[in-house]
Amino acid sequence: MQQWTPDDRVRAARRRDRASRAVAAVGVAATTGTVAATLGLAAVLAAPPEAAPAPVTSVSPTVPAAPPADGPTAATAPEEQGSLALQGPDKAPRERTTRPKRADVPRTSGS
Amino acid sequence: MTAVTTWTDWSCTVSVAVPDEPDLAVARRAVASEMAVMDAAASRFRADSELAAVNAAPGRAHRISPLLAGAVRTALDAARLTDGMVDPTLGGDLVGLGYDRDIHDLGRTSRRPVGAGHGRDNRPSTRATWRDVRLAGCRLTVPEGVSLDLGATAKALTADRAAGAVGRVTGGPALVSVGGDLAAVGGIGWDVLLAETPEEVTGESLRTYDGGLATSSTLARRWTVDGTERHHLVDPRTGRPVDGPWRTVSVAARTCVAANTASTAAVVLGAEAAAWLDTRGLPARLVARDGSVLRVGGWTREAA
Repeated sequence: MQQWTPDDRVRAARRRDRASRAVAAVGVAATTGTVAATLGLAAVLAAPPEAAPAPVTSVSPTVPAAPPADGPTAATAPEEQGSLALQGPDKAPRERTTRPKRADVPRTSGS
Repeated sequence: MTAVTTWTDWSCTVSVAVPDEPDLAVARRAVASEMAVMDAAASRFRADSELAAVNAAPGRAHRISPLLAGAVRTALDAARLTDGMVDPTLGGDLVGLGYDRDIHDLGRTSRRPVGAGHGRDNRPSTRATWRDVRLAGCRLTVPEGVSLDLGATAKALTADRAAGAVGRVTGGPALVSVGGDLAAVGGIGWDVLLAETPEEVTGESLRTYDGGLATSSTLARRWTVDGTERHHLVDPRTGRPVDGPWRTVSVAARTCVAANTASTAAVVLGAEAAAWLDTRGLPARLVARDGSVLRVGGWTREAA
């Protein structure tokens, strides 16, 4: 049978304390998540229907989100990298043997 | 039935296609608007553009618009992802090669090269590179001796942004072509023509879907200096027009910027291009100098 020393008891007590706090944290997180989900659902339910397409006069170019104005200047920081990724499309183009019926179709070409 | 309208801007053909004719006017205005703001930010040929101001004062930190910052960030991404094969710092080389104005004006005359710096022999070995361009938020510093040319990626970025804008204002699918760089949204298929040059009236017929499709060709954007014909695809390793095995490469990708980046890199890479594209799962069609065609990465052709 294992002999417990006073130090063992102290360590065991600390372990129990940590475990207890972890369980409490999970409980808080779960509660918070439930509240957040409830609020999110309420927001969705309360949201107005999607707005109709704006008239052309209100078309404003979508400017990329402005990055933080003040950042490191010594080098282009890793977080300065954009979202460009060289990934293939979901569906590859397919060369056809028949030509389009109309002549004004858009084209890809060297420019 | 698809409705299409075509016009000329940036010395190239611009098209927008939407499923319904009544949406065409609003779609065209959305594309024109995107092109106008990008031109004001990133044109190398406009003295009043933001980019011109940056290029005119290298070595200084410039506060730039979020739009230009996004375009520069995209260009630097393209350089990083291609290990510098798509290089936004070739503005000086292009000027040295005689490409110092809009191609429409350039094509009318045979000219002498402008300044030094064209070709490896005239390039300082210590020349700064794209890795030395500093972009922090909206603060941009271009090193001395470097001039930015965002041409390829900015055009493709405009096509992506324009297709998104048309989709938003019409609430439906859209296809935008800016000088042969295509971007499509909305989940339907589109019939397009694939040609090597803007002047080519034949070409292959193609069915394409959401995402980007771009073609880079050494046959396009050519001009003559002292009796020697040159083109706009410059090899960053030499500072001279690419002289490789592929004259035209078309690539499909998730976005038009990605497609354009890959097609440009493939022409520059030369012999390694097919494997480079295939490894990345990018459907591509490569036309060799003799006109033979190689398809890789899932690019397919219907059986005759």
